[in-house]
Amino acid sequence: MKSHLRHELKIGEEAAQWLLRLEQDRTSATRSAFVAWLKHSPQHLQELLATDAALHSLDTVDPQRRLDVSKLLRQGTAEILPLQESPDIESCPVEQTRHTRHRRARWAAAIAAGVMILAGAAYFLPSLPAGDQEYATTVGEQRSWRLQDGSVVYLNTRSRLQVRYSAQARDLRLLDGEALFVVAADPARPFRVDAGSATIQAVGTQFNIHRDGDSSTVAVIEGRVKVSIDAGSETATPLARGEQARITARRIAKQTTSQGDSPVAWRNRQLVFTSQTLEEVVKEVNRYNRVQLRIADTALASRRLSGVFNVDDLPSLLAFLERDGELTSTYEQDGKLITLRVNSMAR
Amino acid sequence: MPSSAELEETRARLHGFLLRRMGRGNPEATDLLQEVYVRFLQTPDHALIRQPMAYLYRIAANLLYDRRRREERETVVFDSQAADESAERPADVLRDELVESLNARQEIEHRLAELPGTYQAVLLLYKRDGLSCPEIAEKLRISQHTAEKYLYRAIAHFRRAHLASPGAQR
Repeated sequence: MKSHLRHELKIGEEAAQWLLRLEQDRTSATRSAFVAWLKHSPQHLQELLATDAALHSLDTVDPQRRLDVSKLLRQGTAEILPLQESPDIESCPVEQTRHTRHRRARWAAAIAAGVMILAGAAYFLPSLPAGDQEYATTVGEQRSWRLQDGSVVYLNTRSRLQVRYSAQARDLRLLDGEALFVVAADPARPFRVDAGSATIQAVGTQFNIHRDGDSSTVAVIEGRVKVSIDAGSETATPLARGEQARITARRIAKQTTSQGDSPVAWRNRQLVFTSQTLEEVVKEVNRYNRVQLRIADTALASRRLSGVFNVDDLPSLLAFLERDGELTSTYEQDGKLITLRVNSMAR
Repeated sequence: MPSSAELEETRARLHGFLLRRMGRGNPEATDLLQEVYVRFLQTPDHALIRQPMAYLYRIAANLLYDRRRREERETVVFDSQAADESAERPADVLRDELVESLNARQEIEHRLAELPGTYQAVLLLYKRDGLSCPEIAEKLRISQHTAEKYLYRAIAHFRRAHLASPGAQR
């Protein structure tokens, strides 16, 4: 097994060597030597394709440049071999620990359980031409797209996004709804999202914007963004990882977020409420469902509740609301509307 | 021959396919690679030598395309109406692709972090910082030959951490 692995690593190194060499040396002698190597065995071809895939996957690695090369070098030399000497391949640890694999499996399972609509189709389509593109979702729909620069956008229910890429900038406009952006690094072209009253600019980061009319809420999951209000002349407000801000036409107010109150819980089709009023909850739930909730008694509107709900599971939300018997729900208009009332029987 | 944009596209598609299937010792990936190999052997040398990578990816893309068409006859076609409907029928939507692409970058960084520090360092210098081999050699104060060896080795190890080979079922 050990020698088998060593052999594979050797072919892998050869594949890497060819890939790097072909980038610079385009003479026909090199190319025909490469073709001969490739034809030698299917394993060579397999290693070449796998190595190319692995190399490409590093195209956007560490865009925020958080990894410190000199630190890694010190760590590396202590762990394996002195850099100045010619290393021996057997001395390199090839059996990796498996803990990250488990972590990945759990993560994947969590997503698989939660995310429903996806970009399967978009993934295999040719990349979209330059110019304006519009992306939209209907009620209850969530989708994602990979944009031409490699950035990925996830659109939540009933959302609309315009994308315009040019050589100088990546300009996007969130016309409606909510979107999560995973931005590919490209220092030459700023990634800017116009959310009505404000513009959010990012360089290699992940952030979520929820637009509600003229105001919007921005949450940064990774990296940093700068928020500037179109009307205001004041300087841009930076937001760091984990920070969230509510932006209106006039001001940017940083908010504190509580644990578990993830701004991107929607990607798992979950709604998280932390001591929010029934009015807010109803508004949020209505974004996802064709069946709409309505509060008939204004006295109910300010009641506060906390909980995590599946956006597709109205019955369990209703059961939760009705649990203390002070509220009843009635289906109206052929089941298209659910009215929430004070339970008169409880009085 | 395909333009460079097309080449990138087929390349990305093939990578996606391999990433999703190779790691699991999936016979589908092994089959595809065998087919690519056979067609590659059948292609006349003079054509291959002109643009080897473009040819290789063109062959692979054609095979992938055929395969997908065969699959699509059996699966639901994805359009906006289907998307709408699937909002109500969440369970039976293809989810693999998104799950993979969603977290691809974090996953890659985990894989990278598993490697010895030296390997991580040269990969970062090469891919993230865009340094050439001579520049890496200079930075690490080693010979260019050694720098190259390090880089090839780092790539080979990363590739192993990244995708287990389908033939390597032990």
